[in-house]
Amino acid sequence: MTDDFGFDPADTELARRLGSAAPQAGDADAVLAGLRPRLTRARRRRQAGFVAIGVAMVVVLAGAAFAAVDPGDGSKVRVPPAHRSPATVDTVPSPTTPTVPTTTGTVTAPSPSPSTASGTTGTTTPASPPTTVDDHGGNRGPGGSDDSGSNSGPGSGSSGSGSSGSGSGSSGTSGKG
Amino acid sequence: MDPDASFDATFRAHYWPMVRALTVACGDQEVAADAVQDGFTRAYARWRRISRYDDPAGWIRHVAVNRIRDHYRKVERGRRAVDRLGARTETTVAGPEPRTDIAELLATLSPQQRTAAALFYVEQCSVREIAHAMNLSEGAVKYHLHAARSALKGRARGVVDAP
Repeated sequence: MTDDFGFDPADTELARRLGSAAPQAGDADAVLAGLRPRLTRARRRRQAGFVAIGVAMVVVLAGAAFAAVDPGDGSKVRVPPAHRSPATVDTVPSPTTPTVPTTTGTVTAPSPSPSTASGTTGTTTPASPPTTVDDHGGNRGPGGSDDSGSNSGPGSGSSGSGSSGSGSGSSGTSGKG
Repeated sequence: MDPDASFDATFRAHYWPMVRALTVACGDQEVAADAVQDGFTRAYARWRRISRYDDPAGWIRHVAVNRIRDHYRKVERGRRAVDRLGARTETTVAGPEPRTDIAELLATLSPQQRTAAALFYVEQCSVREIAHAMNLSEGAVKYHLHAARSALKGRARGVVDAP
């Protein structure tokens, strides 16, 4: 009650008059019955909220655990080291070398174009290419139309570079073996 | 005791006293009833915990008082916005409806004095319960009650003192 503040007769009268200004009390059971669906909805909504929070936490924890676990060797992608394999050599068009020099002795311009050497076999290609250009082992032998670099020809590998580095035409042809 | 049964008992015991007191405090029975029902609705959703409180009705009263405060704060904001727009409107905010002589006197009090007086005189709550409901210290509640009582007695000597 209100006796901790003091309640004199004037307060009693004031309380009576304030009470008369307030609405009369009705049937609480009727109000409660009308409020029941709203109460049920509120409780369900709160429970659904808890369930949603729980599910979200489980998902987050599972994701974190999945990310933290080492996947192991079986799941790693192995990339083979970069090296030349024989299979790739076969795919490179081998330089065509004239097997038989078909010069008729009237060749005057020993400047075969590498691009045309393969297509004009035996017509202008000298038997021995000029060795004036030192290719430091990177060039091909005669007819080496392959200009893909120093690593595609069979002669330019570990064995070919040495042989072709000598600059001899025969070694160039032998390099492509 | 069954939780739902205890909730129903609390509702029957406290619903109308709260509505009556807050109607005096805010002057609008609809707003007061809505605030009290909202307090009971929130309490029902978490009744398993609230039923273990020393005073579950105090928690509900606290929610209801806050709801009324929020309601009139929102109304006041709307009124200020309308004023800023320069529109003249006849809608006035809150305040108890001057239906009776005592209601006119209540309208002269500040909202906190009105709420404290209504809870004290109508629902007959203790100072501690009012302090909990209004989120104030007991000293502050006594201050508001004293101010409200002085104002009511001073301005309505004839009203209060008259038999």
